[in-house]
Amino acid sequence: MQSTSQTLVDETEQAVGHVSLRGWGLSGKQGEVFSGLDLDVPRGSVAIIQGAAGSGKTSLLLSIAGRMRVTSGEGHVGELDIRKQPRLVRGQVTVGHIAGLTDLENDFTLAQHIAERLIMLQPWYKPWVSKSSLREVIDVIRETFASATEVIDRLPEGTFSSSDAKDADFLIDDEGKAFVSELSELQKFLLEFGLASLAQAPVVVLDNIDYLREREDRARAWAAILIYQELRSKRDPENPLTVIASCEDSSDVDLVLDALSTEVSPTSVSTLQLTQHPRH
Amino acid sequence: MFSLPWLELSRFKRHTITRLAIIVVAVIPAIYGGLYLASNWAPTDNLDKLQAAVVNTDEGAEKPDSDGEKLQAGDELVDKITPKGEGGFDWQETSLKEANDGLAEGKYFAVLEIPSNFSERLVSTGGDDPEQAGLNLRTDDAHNFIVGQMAGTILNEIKSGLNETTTAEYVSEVYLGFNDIHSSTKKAVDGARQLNDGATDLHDGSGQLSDGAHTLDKGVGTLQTGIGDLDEGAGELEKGSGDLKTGADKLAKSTTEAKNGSKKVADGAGQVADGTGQLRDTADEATDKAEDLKDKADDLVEGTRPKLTQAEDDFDSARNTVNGDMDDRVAQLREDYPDDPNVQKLADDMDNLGGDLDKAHGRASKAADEAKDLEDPVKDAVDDVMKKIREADKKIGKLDDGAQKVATGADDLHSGLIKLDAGAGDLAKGAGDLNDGAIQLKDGTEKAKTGVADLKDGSSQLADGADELDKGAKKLVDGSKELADKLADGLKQIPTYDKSDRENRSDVVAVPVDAEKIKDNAVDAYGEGLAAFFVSLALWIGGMITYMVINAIPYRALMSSAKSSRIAWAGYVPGILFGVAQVAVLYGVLSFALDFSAGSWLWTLLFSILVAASFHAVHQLCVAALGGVGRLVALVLLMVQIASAGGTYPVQTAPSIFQIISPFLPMTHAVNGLRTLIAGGDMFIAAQAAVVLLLMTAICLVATMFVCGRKRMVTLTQLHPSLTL
Repeated sequence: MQSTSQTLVDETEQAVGHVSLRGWGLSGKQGEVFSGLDLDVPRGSVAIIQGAAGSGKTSLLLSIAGRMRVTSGEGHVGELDIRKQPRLVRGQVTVGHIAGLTDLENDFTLAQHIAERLIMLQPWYKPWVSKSSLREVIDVIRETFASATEVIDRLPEGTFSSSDAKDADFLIDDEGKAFVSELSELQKFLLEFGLASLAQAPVVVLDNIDYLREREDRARAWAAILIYQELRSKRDPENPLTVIASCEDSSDVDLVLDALSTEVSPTSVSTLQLTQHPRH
Repeated sequence: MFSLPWLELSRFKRHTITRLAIIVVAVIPAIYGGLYLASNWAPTDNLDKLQAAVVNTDEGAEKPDSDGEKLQAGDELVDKITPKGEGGFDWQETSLKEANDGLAEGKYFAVLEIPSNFSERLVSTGGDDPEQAGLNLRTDDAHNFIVGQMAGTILNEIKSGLNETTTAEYVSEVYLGFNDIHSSTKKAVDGARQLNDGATDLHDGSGQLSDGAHTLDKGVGTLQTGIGDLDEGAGELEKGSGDLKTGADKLAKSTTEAKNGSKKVADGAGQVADGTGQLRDTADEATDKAEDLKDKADDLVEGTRPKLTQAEDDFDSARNTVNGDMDDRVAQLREDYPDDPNVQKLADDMDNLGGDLDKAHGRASKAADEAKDLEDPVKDAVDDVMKKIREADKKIGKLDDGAQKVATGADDLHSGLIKLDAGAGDLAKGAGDLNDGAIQLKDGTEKAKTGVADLKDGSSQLADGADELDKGAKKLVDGSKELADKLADGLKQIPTYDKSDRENRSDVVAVPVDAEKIKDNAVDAYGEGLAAFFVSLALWIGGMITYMVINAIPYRALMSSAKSSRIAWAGYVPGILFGVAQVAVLYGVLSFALDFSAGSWLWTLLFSILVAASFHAVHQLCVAALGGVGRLVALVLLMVQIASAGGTYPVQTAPSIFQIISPFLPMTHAVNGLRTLIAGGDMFIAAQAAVVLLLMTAICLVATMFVCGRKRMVTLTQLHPSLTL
């Protein structure tokens, strides 16, 4: 129930992407899910929500994203009051992966998924996306992967290699014609993260990275998140990415942070421990 | 080129099974609507596939006004309906038992019984005691209720067909009757004309009669006045004749007296005449003597004196004679004829004479004296005297003549008076008679007067009566003329009909209203009439199937920052594309497999697409809002709308709860609009329905949008669902 912050945030700069919760609590018909949470996530930082299954990680992430009502407390995303302005908060916080809510369509190709997400982000009067603009977006993704691969290549031996980057690359063909069902779990996870990033929102929430059963995959996922955060802060320093991710076991994160310490520098990395509430 | 609907559909392109699913979604409404409509397309056209029995027990009847011609209406009816395709069902003539058994076991769908008095009753329509002819149709609802309904229709057709023929026959008689009426009326017109002519003559006669009666009356008036005058005159006559009688009596008396008197007069006059005769004689003698005297006077003049003296003496004696005797006698005459002027004159003359004689005597004396003195004057005097004597003598002569005449006249008078007396007697008698007559006349005139008064009254009455008769005759003329004219007018209005005209009119009158043929916007078949309902049902089911197969909304999008309207629209457009496909397939099947034809194809298709659009909006809302429960809701809505959309019978025939909810359900408007467009009716109704459906579509889309907004908030229940449909 504590949050540690490696850097002091300028109090006056309640900047976009800064998430803060005070006395945040949720109780349902079956009792309290969580209560009295205090959390501060500075922009550009990584927050890890750690807790056992059923400890309310998903609910907490949804509530931060403005997609679940809490019963007590006060929360802000930048200037926005989460409880009073959930619609605006939803524009600021994108959802990367939440099982059952962001599931990909197996019968879609990558290109279709990207196109779908692009159309949804366009204004109402533009309900389509041309193949050329889709190609541009795919190229941007490809460049991002290339940049990430470069970052990985700069890493010392024994950490991550280009093979890891290849495993993570969900663009398994140039055209994006491959179906989602052909992707690995890691690729799917990163595709969801990529789709969420298309909106270029300041905050992204990611639920339950532990669903990636392979330890390597979890490490690769973390690495990908951190590398992307770094790339984005370099490309657009004014609009860094704040990552809030949940897991049952955060030991992987420290390893990855160690491995990437030369290349990535999130504003801060904090961990919030959630405890299981007895259910009635 | 990517778009959300295309992306949604492209999910199905990957596997054969999902591709088939798309086809199924597009085809299911066509299968549903097509199957039902195909089986019910034109059931009534195939009634001849149903067997029915006709039982004829009719005994026939003799036609009225015909020479023993028999009507066998039952046989005619059987002949009419038994040929294939003539009487609706496939009619077979059977015995009653066969028919009953067949009906019970379902072999026959209907039994038509023709009663034994069928022809008799039919014939009775033209007779004095018309009765309706009865037919008896029996069906068995245990086999098929609808056939029972249809049989009723068929019976109606048979009935109206029969009514047509019998009525036509009856009416034909009526038209024949019109011809009779026409000819009779024509006779009546002629009679009325004659009556009118006669009445005109009568009127002329009565006019004359009236004039005559008035003249008569006037004449009788005059007569009455005359008779009055006559009566008055008769009265006066009576009075006068009375007076006359009295007078005549008096006259008779006085004439008798006069007669008697005149006798005396005659006697007297005779005596006078005698006297005057004597006087004459005497006078003559006197004259002679005077002559002698004269001579002597002359002699005296010679011898004068002695002679004068003598003369004086003579005068003296003459005077004495005259004055003595004459006066006596004249006095006597005057006594006898007191009134006779001659006598008077005579008396006067006699007096004069006497006077003269006196004078003469005096003179004579004087003369004698004078003669003594004057002999000449004497002589003159003598001459004078002589003259006078001579005149006297003449006068006496005249007197005598007169007296003679008087005497004669008196005699004549007497004899006249005798006659007069006799006449007066007669007159008196006549006057008596006259008086009697006059009295009788008066009585007569009295009676006549009364009679004439009565006559006058009578003639006045006659005149009045004649006037009234005239007036009456005038009215009779007018009336009979009017009668004739009106009858003639009426005659013009009484139609006459020849044979072909009669037949034509009889047919028209027998079926004056051919209601079956007056259908606005008639549809070709039963199925086409039901099409609106089943197209609506099919599209509703199509909508349900669509959102069973595709997602109501792209759920991933809820977790993105996409707008709710975009999400709702993204879920809706693939649905509506399916809807268009369903409409296309459905109408393709209907038009190619069932010779379905819409009143206006373009509008029908467009409207059907609108129907599909609105239904899909409803289904999207149901599924988006309630998930699997929403599909159940859609199913319940389907049941409710089957009851309240008014697809078969008008919703007004349904319980009031259905009538209340009917306007709020989309299928009601879908059915209304489609029905209008398929039949080709009032476009306004279709336009109205279209507006309502558009509104419902919009409402559903907006609601779906709100649902999407709400769905972005995840609840704990959604995270850990207890029931997944």
